[in-house]
Amino acid sequence: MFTGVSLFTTHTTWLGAGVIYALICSLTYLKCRFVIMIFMEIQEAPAGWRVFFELWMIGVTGMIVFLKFAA
Amino acid sequence: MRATGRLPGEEGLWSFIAADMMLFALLFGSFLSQRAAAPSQFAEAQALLVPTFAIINTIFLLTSSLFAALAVQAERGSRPGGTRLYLILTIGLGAAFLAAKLAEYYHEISAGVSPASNTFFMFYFVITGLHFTHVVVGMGILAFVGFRMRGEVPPERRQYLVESGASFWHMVDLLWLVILPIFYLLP
Repeated sequence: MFTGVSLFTTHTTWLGAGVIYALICSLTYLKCRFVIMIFMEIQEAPAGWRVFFELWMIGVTGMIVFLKFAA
Repeated sequence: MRATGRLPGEEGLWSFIAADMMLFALLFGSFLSQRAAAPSQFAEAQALLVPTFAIINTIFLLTSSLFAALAVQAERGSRPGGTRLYLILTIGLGAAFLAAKLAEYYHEISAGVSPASNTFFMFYFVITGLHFTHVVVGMGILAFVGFRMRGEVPPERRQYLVESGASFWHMVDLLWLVILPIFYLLP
């Protein structure tokens, strides 16, 4: 489903670029969160590791968002 | 997924996973900062990529991660036959990813693109090439784990082996989930 929506964003002209950008960033964050929390089972891990992975996800997504506005 | 209350697999491997994720985060940050400095040049270069390749590869990797997670669950449920099957499926989808990626590289190189073309493609080939290497290593690890499953291994050790291999594989998938938008999708 996430992948289908991602593909959708590359073939859409009626949505504004800002909306597509926001959609892509949120989908990326959610997909990463799913893999990290469910597949990698970090939600069951000690707190330090949970913090590391949360910061990584937020950091990477934040870089994408911040550098868009810095352009 | 059944809760375990600990990191799955060998703890030392997680230090490696964390370091690898930091390396890629630095590479992503470098790429994004260069993109911010030359947005039109990067947009022109991005237009030469074919997102369909990337979407297909995302499906391959996400499905393979699912099979890796199912291999772990099968091992915890003491169904070793199921573990080997899921590991084979994971490796098979990894091979499909590599084949699609090579086809994509061939398409791009045939179009006259190379790492020396511009900054975008320098980052593209370095980051996706590094990721490609990780997929190969991940397949090797999973193959080793599958091979070890055939011998006399204590059940607890078997579980750690499968969890370790699967954890590395999930990291490889995770990195691709960031590569997909920053190179192929972002307008």
